[in-house]
Amino acid sequence: MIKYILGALFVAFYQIIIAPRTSLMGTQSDMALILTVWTALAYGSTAGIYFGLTAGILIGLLTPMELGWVGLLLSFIGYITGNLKTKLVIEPMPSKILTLLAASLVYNFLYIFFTRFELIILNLSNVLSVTLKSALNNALVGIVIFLIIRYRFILRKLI
Amino acid sequence: MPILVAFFISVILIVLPASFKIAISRVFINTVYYPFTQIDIFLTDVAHAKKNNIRMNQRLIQVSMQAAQFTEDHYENVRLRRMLNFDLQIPYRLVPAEVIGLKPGLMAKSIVINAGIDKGVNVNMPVVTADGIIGKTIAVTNNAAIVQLLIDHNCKVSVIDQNSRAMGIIRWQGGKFLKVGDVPIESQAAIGDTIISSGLGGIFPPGLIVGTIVFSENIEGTMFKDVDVKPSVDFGSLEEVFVVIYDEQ
Repeated sequence: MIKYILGALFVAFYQIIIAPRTSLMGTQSDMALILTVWTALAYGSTAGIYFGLTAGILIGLLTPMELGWVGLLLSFIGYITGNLKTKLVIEPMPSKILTLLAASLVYNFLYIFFTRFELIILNLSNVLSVTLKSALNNALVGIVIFLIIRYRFILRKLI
Repeated sequence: MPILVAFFISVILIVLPASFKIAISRVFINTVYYPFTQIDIFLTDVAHAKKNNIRMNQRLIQVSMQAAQFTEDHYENVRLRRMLNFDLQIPYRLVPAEVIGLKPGLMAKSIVINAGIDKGVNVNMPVVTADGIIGKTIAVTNNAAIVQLLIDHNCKVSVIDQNSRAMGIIRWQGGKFLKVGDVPIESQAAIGDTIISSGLGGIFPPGLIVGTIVFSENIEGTMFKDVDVKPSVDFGSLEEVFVVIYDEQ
């Protein structure tokens, strides 16, 4: 539990301080999503669900009107990703990034669908464009984060 | 099972009243997220300060360049003022006078002004208005002088075309305009050129405006041009004039 809270606090730190300063193509990367996918891929769906829920609630507190939705969607992504891992071999880095990309597309679209449905009716093409850009941004940041985590394990083994 | 737990917790949070959500959010932002928001504010301030610093440096350079330019302009201004004062002080001195008398006739060929020996006026001194030369003094008393106008056929002025630099002697020979004699046929004196005094006659200093060329054609069988000049001065409405005391005299 402590790990989840610390991870979620790191996510909050990233979303408040780093993400606004590293926006790409007009979108900000979503560390909560990236780490939820990584947790689910590394430890399974249950870990993914709990991490997604914890991070989602903490991040949701920054946008109180949408409190609950982020946690719900992230835990859903953690659940799907964890189940996917049991059915497919997602060990190589490219497949993990592809999983993250797909998870980002689903998450971003569902997030807009549940919290800003009127945008889908008014301008679906723009919503899809933003969703795609955001997913690509998450994938790029995901590569860096996944590599850092992998090196962390290597360094720990070396020490 | 865990997904159901997550679902129920999330749904509970979603259906909470908005005021309650905002209250919880406020508590978290003021406690848990407080260090993060302070770091965010600090970094934002630093970024703004950096941008402002760059902008202020650019502005400083612009202002420095402007200041340097102003200094240059100031020194140029001082130099020009010195040159102007030098020109005014050394070759010329203007003595103001009023026209107090006209020679009777359809068009006065000479006028009387109220400046004489008492003001330093002497014979053969140029008389001008702001528009240009009007003539020269031909007789002087203690407090008055007679001015022979350019439209007197005895008044001659050595002139030069400001554009073509063609030189000649201007005088009135009857008609509406002054005539410039001895202008070589090769000269480029053209209609519209300004005629000024050349300073060669010894009476009129160089550079005083006489008039504008209104006619310029070669005289057949000669080596000279026929050049007519419209005087720049309206001789019919002379009231205030200046006697030029030209120190070279």
